[in-house]
Amino acid sequence: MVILITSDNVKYVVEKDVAELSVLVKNMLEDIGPSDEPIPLHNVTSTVFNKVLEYCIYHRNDPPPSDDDEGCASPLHKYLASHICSEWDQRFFDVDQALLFDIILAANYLDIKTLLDDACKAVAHLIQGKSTEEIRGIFNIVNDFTPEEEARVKKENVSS
Amino acid sequence: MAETSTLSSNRVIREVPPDVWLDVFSHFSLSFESYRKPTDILHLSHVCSSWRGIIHNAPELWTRIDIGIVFSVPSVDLVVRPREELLSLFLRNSRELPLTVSLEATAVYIPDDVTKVCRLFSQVAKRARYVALSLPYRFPIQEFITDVEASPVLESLYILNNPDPNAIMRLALKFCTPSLSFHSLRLQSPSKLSLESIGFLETHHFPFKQLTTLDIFMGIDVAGFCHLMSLVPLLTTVKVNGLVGEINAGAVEAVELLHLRRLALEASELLATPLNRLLEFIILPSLTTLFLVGDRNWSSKVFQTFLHRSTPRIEHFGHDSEDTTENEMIERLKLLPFIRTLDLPADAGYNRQYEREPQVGSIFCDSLQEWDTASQRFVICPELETLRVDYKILSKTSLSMTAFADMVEERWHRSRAAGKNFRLEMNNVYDIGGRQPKLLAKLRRIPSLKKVGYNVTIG
Repeated sequence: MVILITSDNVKYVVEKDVAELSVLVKNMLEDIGPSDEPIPLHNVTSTVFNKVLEYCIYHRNDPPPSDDDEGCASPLHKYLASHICSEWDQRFFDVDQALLFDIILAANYLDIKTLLDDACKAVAHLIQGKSTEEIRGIFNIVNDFTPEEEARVKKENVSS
Repeated sequence: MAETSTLSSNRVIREVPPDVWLDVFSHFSLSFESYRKPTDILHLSHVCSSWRGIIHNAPELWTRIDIGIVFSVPSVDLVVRPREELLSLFLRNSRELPLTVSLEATAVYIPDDVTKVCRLFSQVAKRARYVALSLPYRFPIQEFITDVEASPVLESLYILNNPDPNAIMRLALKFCTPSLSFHSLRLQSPSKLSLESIGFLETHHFPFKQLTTLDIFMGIDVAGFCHLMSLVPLLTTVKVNGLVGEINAGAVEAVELLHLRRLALEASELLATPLNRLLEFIILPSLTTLFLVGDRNWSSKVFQTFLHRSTPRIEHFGHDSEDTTENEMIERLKLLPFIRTLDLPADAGYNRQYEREPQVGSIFCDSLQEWDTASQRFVICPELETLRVDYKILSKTSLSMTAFADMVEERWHRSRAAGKNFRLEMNNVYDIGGRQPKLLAKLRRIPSLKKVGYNVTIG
């Protein structure tokens, strides 16, 4: 078992194989060797870590990706397999945008590649088919183009 | 996704690192499918200066270019896309990276449009790594071939929707011959690929010897298929959907394909020879994946001879045979002890006029959960990790439904205790389940295993 402490001082006792899905934690465990020392996760709150942990427990036994696992799938099937998350993953990422980005930042900090990758797919799915204005609205992004840049953007829009 | 965003102004721009955004944009750009979508990456670059900087400095986001003659609704004029200014932007931003290019003409009526398309396509085709061509029957192929410059770095060619086999052959020759890196060919057409068509390509030095991946979704003579296999020594993956005709055993010599790992064959309704008989003419020592769809009249002798001559380690086996009994299927599986994925579909690619015999019933399920206490392994398919079953081939009796659920649960518990995975994917349940609620109730405990961590997909 591994003890992890989040930035808001909540202690988690986690099975080692689950904790080691995080490359950051895995490296820290290797550095400190056998020890009961808790590992601090400075950039992750317990609210976000609960979600991260839920993902890691569900995916703990996932085999590493392999071509053969897809059998004789067509390129389309391979594409679908790699781009459409499972039903469980879809439910997992069905959270408000603030939490979704918290998960992304935590996955990036903890270096959990599959979680980061799946969360990025969820964001990509979110902006699919949306106009520029709609995307700004969803993520609360400010249009910060200078007048010159705005003119270039308008010109590109005309030609598209 | 819930709409209750509480993101503060520009938080995502301040906090999310550019490389994470690049990951998002990469997934986004991979997910477009039609000619309109490449412009979406342009629209993303119009959201804010930060995104614009990331996108303009990522040439890989600009490498997919789709050109097409399309109907412009509602005026129903024909329009050539993209406009030249936009194409120039894509070519500039993609820098020197090889391109993924598709050309799609939904209709061709105006010669000027064809000339314009050829001119646009010429600019991108010479840098293309992947080319997809969807050209209708009336498209002037000869003019196109004369005008377009083929790419010396082409790796993959996909020709679809053209019903003229001669046009397909000429396009294949034009695009594939100049490239030493070409290795993947995919053809999809309502027409038929004959022995003569393959001979035409051979005569004109089509680079068969470079091919590692071949995907033919069109009619193909068995004789043509057998000859084709003798021309492709480096092939690793072959998928053929639409075998027709009859094999002349005396005229075919066995061919050994040392590198072939994945073989998927699907019969058309015009195939007179059972699919499994083709295994008599190929020796595949590296084979790991074998799919035979729409098969019948299984010959154990041919299959055993194939296994004896090739000694392959088949780990993924898919089989759709309309006349196989449960006992026969079990006998087949006994010959394949390394199976990790077992796929039992029910769609042979053409419409059967009758209900098929169920192949997964009590006998099959009881055999699959038979446990050898001495070796602590399952007797049949001891390495099985994934079972894909079409609900249509499940025996619809209360007893066999219970046996199926027992088998799934048993294999999952045993695999889990051994630290291994066992996954079930069952398809087409919801399509017909409404008519058989009592039977489906027998299966209900399978999805309930999800709650304790079982990996199951039912759809």
